[in-house]
Amino acid sequence: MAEPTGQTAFKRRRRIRRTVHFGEPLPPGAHTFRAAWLCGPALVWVTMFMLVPLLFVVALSFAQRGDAGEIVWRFTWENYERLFGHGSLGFDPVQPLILARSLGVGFATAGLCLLIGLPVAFFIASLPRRWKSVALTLVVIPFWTNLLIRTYAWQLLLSPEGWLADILTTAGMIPAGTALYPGWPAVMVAMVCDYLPFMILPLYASVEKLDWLLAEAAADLGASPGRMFWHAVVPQIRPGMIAGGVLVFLPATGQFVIPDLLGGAKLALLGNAVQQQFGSSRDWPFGSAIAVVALLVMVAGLWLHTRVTNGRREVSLP
Amino acid sequence: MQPADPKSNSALAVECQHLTRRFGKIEALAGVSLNVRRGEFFSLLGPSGCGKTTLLRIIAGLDLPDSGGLRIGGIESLRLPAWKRPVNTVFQSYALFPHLSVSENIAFGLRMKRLSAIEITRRTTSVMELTQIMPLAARHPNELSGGQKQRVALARAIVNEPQVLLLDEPLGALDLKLRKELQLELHHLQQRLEMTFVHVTHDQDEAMTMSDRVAVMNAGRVEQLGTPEEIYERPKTRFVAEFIGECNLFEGKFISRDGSRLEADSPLGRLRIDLPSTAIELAEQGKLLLGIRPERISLVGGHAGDNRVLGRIEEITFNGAESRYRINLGKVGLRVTELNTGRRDVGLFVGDSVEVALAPGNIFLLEG
Amino acid sequence: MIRRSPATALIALLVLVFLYAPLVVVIIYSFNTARYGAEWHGFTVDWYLRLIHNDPAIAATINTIELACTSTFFSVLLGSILAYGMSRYEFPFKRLFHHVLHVPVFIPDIVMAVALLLFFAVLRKWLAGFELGMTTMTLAHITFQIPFIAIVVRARMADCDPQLEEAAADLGAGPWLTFRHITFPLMVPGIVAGGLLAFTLSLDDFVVSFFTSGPGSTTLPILIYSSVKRGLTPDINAIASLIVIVSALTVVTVAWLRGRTEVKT
Ligand SMILES: Nc1ncnc2c1ncn2[C@@H]1O[C@H](COP(=O)(O)OP(=O)(O)OP(=O)(O)O)[C@@H](O)[C@H]1O
Ligand SMILES: [Mg+2]
Repeated sequence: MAEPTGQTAFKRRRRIRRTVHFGEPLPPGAHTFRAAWLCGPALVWVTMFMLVPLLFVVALSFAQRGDAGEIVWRFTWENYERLFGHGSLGFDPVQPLILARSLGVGFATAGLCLLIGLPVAFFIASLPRRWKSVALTLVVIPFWTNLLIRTYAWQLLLSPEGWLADILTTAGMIPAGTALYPGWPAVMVAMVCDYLPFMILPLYASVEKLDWLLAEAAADLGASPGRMFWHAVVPQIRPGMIAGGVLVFLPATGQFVIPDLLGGAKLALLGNAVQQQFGSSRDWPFGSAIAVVALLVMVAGLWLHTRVTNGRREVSLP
Repeated sequence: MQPADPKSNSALAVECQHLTRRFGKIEALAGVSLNVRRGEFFSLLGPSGCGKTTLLRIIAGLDLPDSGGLRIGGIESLRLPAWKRPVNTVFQSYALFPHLSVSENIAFGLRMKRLSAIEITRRTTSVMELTQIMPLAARHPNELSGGQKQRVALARAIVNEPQVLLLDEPLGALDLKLRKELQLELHHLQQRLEMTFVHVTHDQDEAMTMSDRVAVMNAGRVEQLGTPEEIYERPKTRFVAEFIGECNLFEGKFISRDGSRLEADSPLGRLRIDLPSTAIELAEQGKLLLGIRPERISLVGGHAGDNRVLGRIEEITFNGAESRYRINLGKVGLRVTELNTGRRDVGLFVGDSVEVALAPGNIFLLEG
Repeated sequence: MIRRSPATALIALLVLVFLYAPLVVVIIYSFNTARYGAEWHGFTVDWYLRLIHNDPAIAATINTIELACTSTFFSVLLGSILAYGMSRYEFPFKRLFHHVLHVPVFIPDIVMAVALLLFFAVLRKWLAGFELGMTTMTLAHITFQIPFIAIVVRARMADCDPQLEEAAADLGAGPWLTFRHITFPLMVPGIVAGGLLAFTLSLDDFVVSFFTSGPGSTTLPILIYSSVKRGLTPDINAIASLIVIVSALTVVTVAWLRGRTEVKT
């Protein structure tokens, strides 16, 4: 039976037209009035410095670039057409490739993080209560340290004089003096390293709630461990898998620092493209169009995330 | 300790006038009127979801009715905020402040009243002694057992010496043994403090043993209000008769009336019934609903003037202090309880024929 | 109960090594005598001592700390009040605002950065004397910190039974006293945790700062980025190590606070 809480519905018919808020009778309207004073400043702030700038970006994505890089406010679809391969000399694959590459990197990172994160989540869930929080804190610490520094650290680790190169050279896998970056492997290693905590936390939350009776029942019915895992365990931790996947996919797709430092010019992602347009290319309208696409990817991801978590969207925090 | 001085000389501590409260489609209170007298132990008894907590919250000022009136100590109170009402609540889930120690929890109300530190210490200590939680003073709520939390919640409320103490199933979360123990303590406490207690419970034993008066609630209504004896002996409605204790119910037809003596036709045959004056107008209808408690039926003996019916024993259950019988009377069955007095030479066995005696004064007439 | 298996334990250990390798390597190299590159030449604490005379680094440190402190102060104020309002009051379009609040959390840094860059550029046209610099960076940081604080504080408040506040009212405390003696003390651990996290967030932010900064408002992450880009890294290792250690200590403090003040029911 639902016990009444502090709030009481604030619309009321008939004779008594007041509400009670934690023992305080309020005339109609007073409740909303106070809420406006409490929540107003922060909400106005976020609207002003987040939503309004984003609206500017959307508007700008339909504008044109002047010859000197200035903005010409004339409506056009050109930026989006360019983004999807419409060049002056027919189909130009550079921009569509960037989009495809970004999505590819996002999915690959999410997939790798899932593969690596699952056993870790199971391991943490199997620890005694005290050690669980220690393990979770350990997972979370790298996430809260500067991403730029961690990415730069991979430069050190993967440099020709670094230990990894030494080991691989000794093993005869690469010729001496080869740098392990820039390139795909370096980008992926850094991505997985940076976003693994995003995957482990929601996965752990799901694994922790797992009903092992179902799995045991499946085992009793003669299911092999693989089938048991697939049919009795995976469906239960699917929300965690999807939540983690979205949490990894979103920032990975929009990454700017990692491909910039470890990928080189040929491996530009959406983030780098945006930076380039707003920076050296001075084509803000086109940069805005790319940003809008990144935003749409975010909205789609969030929609999925909200659906699997039933609207209880929580950011992974320690 | 004495309860706070009444501001008015009203003999009524709480007066509820036709209170209604809806939550969307659910009618939590559908017109509740009742008066609680000063200094009495008053219980609201009813099944889960019948609106007891809602009524209590309205008295405490934590909720408002959709319509109706409320007076506390004779003072119109619906417009008063909770912190200005001379009532304190012991919450169903205790609601102890987790960041304060036991003694700080208890002192909270006095601190809000800006009493002097010496006065606060004095009253807090005396209440902690009264409720036997002195050794717990420095602990925090998360270091207490359920029973201890309950005592702290109680102490935190009574230390303010409210005119009315509201208790929302204060013993609900405790195990049976502890509950029995604390029931008694609570009862003694109320007598010592001479404070008005309005106590909510869905446990009929609890309501019967502790209360001066009981209001039986069902689906947002007060079905019956009276002393435990009245409610048990003379239930007014079918719901009350069935909710409290055990009861044999059967239908009857009005035949004739002579003063308070009624004659009715029933599946048990022709019955003579003695009515209390309050129920007389009910009896003028054609169809009647009749009831009698199992322990008020005699299988052996009985008195002259009892209604007597022949039946056959279908089942006997020995239950220590008493035995329960199921008697087949042809058209209906009766449940009968007889005290085991030790003389088991009565010698009743399954299949025996018995003459069942129902005293006219023990049969009651019910509404609906 | 989940059985522990040696296989998952081994993987977990490797993952731990993998996660900490970058942090450890930065700290190790900060003691490396080599001026360039990643070769190990010998142990020294020189780089840390030299920081004292490194004027750009000191200026950047001051900027970083000033930025983090100012923005955290305002965002804690706005975010906590928001969390209180949202968890204790109902108002129209609350769900919509709830979603709006999550935009700065999930938006790619670079998109937020260029949106603000654009926004500030437009403002500059209208407001004379409005320049990119510490002010714009502070505004930007507050924007992404507010939601984090609001979320942490709200999560904390969701753990506290609203009936506690009703109990306070019942015991004679009016709205202000209830807030002062019950609600606020219960919120404090959430506010502290949220504030520390927001502080770390500001300390670590590079992308948004990079786009909203102006001349003279270089922060440590920006300094690190430009040094890394130019390949001048030895003294950067020392700074980076210090940042890593500060962040790690903050997170440990938050975790410790949470464990200590968990609402037990
Ligand atoms: N805040 C609320 N919102 C919606 N419905 C409510 C609210 N409070 C109470 N109700 C409904 O009103 C009815 C009466 O509730 P109330 O809590 O008064 O019951 P109760 O008699 O105290 O029950 P219990 O013995 O289980 O505590 C229930 O059907 C309940 O679901
Ligand atoms: Mg209740």
